[in-house]
Amino acid sequence: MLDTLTRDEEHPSDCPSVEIAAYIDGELTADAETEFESHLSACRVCADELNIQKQFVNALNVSFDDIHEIPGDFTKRIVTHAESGVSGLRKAKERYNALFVCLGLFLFALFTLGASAPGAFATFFDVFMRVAAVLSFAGHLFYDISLGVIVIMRSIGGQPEFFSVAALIVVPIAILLAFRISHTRASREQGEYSESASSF
Amino acid sequence: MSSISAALSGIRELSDAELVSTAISGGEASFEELVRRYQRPIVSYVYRMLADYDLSLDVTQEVFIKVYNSLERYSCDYKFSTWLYRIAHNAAIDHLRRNSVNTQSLETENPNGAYELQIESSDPTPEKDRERSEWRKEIDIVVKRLPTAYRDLILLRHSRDLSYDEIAEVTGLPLGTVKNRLFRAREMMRGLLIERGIDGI
Repeated sequence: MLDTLTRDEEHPSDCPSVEIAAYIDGELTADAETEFESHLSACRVCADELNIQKQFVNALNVSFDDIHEIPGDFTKRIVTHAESGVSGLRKAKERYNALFVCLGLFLFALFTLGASAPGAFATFFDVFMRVAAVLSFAGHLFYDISLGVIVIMRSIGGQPEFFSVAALIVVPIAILLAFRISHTRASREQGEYSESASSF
Repeated sequence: MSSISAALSGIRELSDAELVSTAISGGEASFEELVRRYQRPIVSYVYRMLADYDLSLDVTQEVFIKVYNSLERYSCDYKFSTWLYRIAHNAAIDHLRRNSVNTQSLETENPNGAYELQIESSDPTPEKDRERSEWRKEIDIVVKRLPTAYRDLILLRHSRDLSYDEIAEVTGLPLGTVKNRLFRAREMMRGLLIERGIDGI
């Protein structure tokens, strides 16, 4: 049987040795397989090589059995290690619980710090109160203005003719006012210019 | 009790991809089933790569923990087994590199066959059983003497029954290199067997 394992010394170098292995493994494409088979029918050396390799591959395929002995608790050990890790899959409920605990600890730390040093948060609370007061004022102002505008718009919206009359009165007044303002500003600038010119 | 066994048998019928998705959505038993399915093949593959039984158990555990931690990143485009073997392959190669184990010294480390495989045997006659176990022992010795790159491919192909495409995915090698190296690895094995005076299969 030794000769079955020995490579043929006369094997020509242009014969597709690698293709023989792939052919046995069923890994050649359909085209390559057809081409190889036509070569095989004409090449006695390759046909012999194919038989040798096939025999060896068949023997090799049954040579590696799985390891029989695995510790009885191996599966449990792996699963426990995997689930106890910090990273990895975490259930949503577990995440919420962690968040809840962190929040509780943060509040607890805040209260204990506040209780042990009453002045510790004085500046922080002072700034916080001021910001809150400004925001509250701005909020009230915005609310009142919006409310006023809404009331006016509603009354105008109900009477279209009133809107046109009001527009007829308001628009000329606004134009006059704008003209007046720009005129006074221009004359003031002119006065300043003449003053500066006379100082030279 | 019957409902538990019914649930377990239900889990056993699920595909790998289904088990992954139920494990991600919180099914505790699903990951366990995946481990149960693949622990033996992975231990066998890693053991033959590293030639150390205890170490192969540790590395297998590492592999499954890595799998658990990255289950959410698993893409169903790949077969679960291919993905798993890729992680196992990387873990084994990393280990060999870290400990810079010389592949040629693997055999001499165990001159008395200290790591002799405990393999399953289903042969009916003791004589045939002995013949087969002799042959397997020789194959084990020869496989240990192969360079890591060749040993890896021989194991993935002949022990794990992976296709060339799957081997290319697992090892990250081009398909042509897989084909070429596998051929060279077999040639080397044949040469080594002849050196050892093996005259029969």
